[in-house]
Amino acid sequence: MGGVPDMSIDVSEVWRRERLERLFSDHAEAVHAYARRRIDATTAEDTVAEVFAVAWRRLDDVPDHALPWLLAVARRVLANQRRGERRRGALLARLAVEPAPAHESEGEGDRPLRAAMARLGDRDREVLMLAAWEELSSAEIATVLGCSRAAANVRLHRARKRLVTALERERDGSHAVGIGVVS
Amino acid sequence: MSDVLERLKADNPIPGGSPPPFDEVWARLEAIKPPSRRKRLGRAVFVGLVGLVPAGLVVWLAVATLFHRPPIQSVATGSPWLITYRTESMMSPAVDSGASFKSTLTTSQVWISGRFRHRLDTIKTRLESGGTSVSVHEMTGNGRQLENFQSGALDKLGAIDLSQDQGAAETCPLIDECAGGIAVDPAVEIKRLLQSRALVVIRSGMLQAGRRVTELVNGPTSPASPRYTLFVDPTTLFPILIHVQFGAEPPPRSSMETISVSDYRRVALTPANRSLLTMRPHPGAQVTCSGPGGGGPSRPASARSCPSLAPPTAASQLPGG
Repeated sequence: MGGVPDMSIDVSEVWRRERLERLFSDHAEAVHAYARRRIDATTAEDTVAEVFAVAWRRLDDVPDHALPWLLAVARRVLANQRRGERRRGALLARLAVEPAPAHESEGEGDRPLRAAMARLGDRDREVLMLAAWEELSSAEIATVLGCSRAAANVRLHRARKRLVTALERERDGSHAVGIGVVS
Repeated sequence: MSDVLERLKADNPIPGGSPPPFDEVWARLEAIKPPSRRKRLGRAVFVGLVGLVPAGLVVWLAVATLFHRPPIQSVATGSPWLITYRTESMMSPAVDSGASFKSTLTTSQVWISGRFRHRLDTIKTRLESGGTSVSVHEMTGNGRQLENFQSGALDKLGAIDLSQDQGAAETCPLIDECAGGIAVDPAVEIKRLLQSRALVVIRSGMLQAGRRVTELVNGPTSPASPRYTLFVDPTTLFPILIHVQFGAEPPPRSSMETISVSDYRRVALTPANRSLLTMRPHPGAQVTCSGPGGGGPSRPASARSCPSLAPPTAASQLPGG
């Protein structure tokens, strides 16, 4: 059988590379934006690379509707990075409370809203950011958070309520400070 | 409360992002890419062999001292091989073509070191126009009726030629008279087309006919060119299912041919295999043919009495046989 030709072309490797390229062109921007809203620019780039490294390793697990899956990976990558930061005694709290350092350079924005967001817990803040900034549906949020759709709906509903309360407190607090200043 | 979300949405600090270029990410992946299954297997085999060497040496020494062995006959490299497979093709014409044409063809095709022969087992071809049968060919050989026939199914991969497809039995009774009388192993041809980007991988890993397959299509062609969708074995590249769409419109507005391929084997060209594949007419074959345009009753006939299905001649003898 020495005359049998060599069929050693690795089709699956070609396909994997093409699929990864498609995933990257379709979703890298969204993944980068997700990371950038939560960390600095350099770490965001590292996060994107890490997310697609995970996608490469687990390409068979990536669903057709890939963005929520990729964001779920990004969320875990960020969590790992934060844990690392925490171990090194870095400024995790600032990263969590001030989601995007670029935020500051882009102006003041809605200060009461940001202050109210800062009052919320991580879980509430994350679900609100996924809904408002990543513009995900409740099913997609559920994929990112690794919970059921119903649970995602409940979390979003409660987080909204808490944000409203925090905003009211923020307004009352500002008002009280204002009165204090006047008097 | 929805106002809160709208307000948050309006306060999106980074509406978009500029990710790093793919090549940069890919370069990082290159460093962490796991070894392929083949490499892992190769590594495992290597480690296993290294471990077996001392044990093997001891056993070999023991056997060599205790028993006398005749020399092992090695198989010469470059020896010829056979490739056989069976195809079943279904042709469905476009709905607005004005005529209906359905054909079912079962054939075993044989390549011998690149030279091809077709062993035709069953043909059932029915040509219809406006509901009237104009031509019927039916031949059953029970695997022994042998006939040269260029179905154009797989050979089209290399040299796409529609004229060879329909009515090929009428125009191409002898292989050596056909264009492209030298055919190739379909798996080799698919590999070549993949490397030249004439075939493109669409997806891989899904199941087709109970097997994991890779889906391929032919690259950009003119609108008149047929569109091929191939489902191939990811390892051997051998086609399992082929869809050929003759026209830009999706079926049923365009004619469609579906070819399923099975029993693919690459075997040694031994005298026994050669004998099995030698082409010879089968006198007991049932052949029914009615001439085009006749529309009359079919009549039984021998293979020789049906000109479009003439039996093979000496030209169909296997090379070196």
